[in-house]
Amino acid sequence: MDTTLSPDDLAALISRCTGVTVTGEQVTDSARTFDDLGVDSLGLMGVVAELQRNHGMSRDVELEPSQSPRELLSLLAGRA
Amino acid sequence: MSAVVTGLGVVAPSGIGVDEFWPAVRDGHVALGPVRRIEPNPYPVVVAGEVDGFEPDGWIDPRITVQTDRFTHFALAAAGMALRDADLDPATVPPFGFGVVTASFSGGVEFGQREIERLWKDGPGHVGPYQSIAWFYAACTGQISIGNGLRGPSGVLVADEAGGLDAFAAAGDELRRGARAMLVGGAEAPFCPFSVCCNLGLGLLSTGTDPATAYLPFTAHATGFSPAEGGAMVVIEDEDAARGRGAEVRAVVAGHCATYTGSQHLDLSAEGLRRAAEGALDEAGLDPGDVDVVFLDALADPRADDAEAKAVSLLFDERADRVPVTAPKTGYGRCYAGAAVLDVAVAVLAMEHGEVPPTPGVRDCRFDFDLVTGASRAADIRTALVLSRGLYGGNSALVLRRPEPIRGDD
Repeated sequence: MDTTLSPDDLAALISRCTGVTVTGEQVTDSARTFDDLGVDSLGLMGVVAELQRNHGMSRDVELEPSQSPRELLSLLAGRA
Repeated sequence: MSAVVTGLGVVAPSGIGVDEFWPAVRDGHVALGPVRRIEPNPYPVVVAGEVDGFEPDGWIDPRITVQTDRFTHFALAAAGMALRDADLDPATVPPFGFGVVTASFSGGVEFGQREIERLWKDGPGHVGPYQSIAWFYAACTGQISIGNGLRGPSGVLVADEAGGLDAFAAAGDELRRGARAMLVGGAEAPFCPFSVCCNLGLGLLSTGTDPATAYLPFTAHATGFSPAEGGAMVVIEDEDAARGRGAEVRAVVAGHCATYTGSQHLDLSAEGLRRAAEGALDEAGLDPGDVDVVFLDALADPRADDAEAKAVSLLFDERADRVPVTAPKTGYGRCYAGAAVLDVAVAVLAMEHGEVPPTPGVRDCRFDFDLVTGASRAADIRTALVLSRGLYGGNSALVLRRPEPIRGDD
């Protein structure tokens, strides 16, 4: 299981799960929320589930679209 | 108040968009081929109508693509084409005045199959959240409504395959209640193991292996129909509203009627179809003598074909061998609730072009009605009758009329 994820990797994962084109730069911008990117709550749920299944993210993590991908990145195992 | 057709959008095995679809249908092109969406295909149904070359990119917002099934991709693409064809920007229609009605038979089964496979292979945590909205029958209505900002009265009919015609009645009712415009239609993408297994038990799907002979209704070789994917969306409007904005009125949705004769009783559909046709003509203020062409249901089951031929015979009496009848769907297959909507699109195009398209592949019709085969036939069509049956006993009829010249113009 790959528990380290670069910003580009996370951006690609978000794009794959939600259909929203996201760049690595956007993922590290703490001012940019999932809402801003156009990722809705169902899309975010899919992203979190994917990280929990394949990237060692804690099962307790819950995220709102008003939070940022940067916060998500910091929650990933090995990065906290 | 009349409901009129102002725009057509088609996604079919014979072509994507009316400009591809109509010439293929008119010329009797056969678009059936081997099933490719199920690989490997362990099922006895091997010939089908698939929409080759359709990719959501360019038609659908990628965010919507990942959360929707292929049947919704078809419906969204068809809806977009229908709006452009009607030259109607939803933003110009009063709020709450533009709604959507679709008919569905299969639902989002490809998407559902993928997620359910994850469920039993890997567990509930592996089912994606979009399963909750992608599979269900109302997905097309919902996504068309959201995507185009349509806040008017909307619904979905899961009313057997004949629901494709009933949707026009439901949408027409909304126009009578005050809506200005409606998108109406249906699309199907039924090629996955779950759906094929559900339908195999009906015993109505052709197991023929040659695309040229697998689907031959009304002949001694009829052994069931070839299933298809695809469908159509149609813009219908209140006639005064359409003329008021200078829209081209393509056809009048003049009458509809539905009957029910029970599942497993295909013989009873003779009476069911006849009554539906009479009811639709009655609502249109017409008689069977006014009908210039009939678009047949064409199940290609010997009992069903007998019943449909009998319905035509009962309806037209001594004129029965002189009214042109046709089943263009033998060229591209039968796409469940989308099939009758495609027939409506073909009927509108046939009236406009003055041509009855043929029943591709069929020779040696075993009934003494005037089945158009081989090439298309020139005809002055003022009134078209579309017949549809569901696999579970629904029978519906829709009457379309060529529009009269604008009042005061003549």
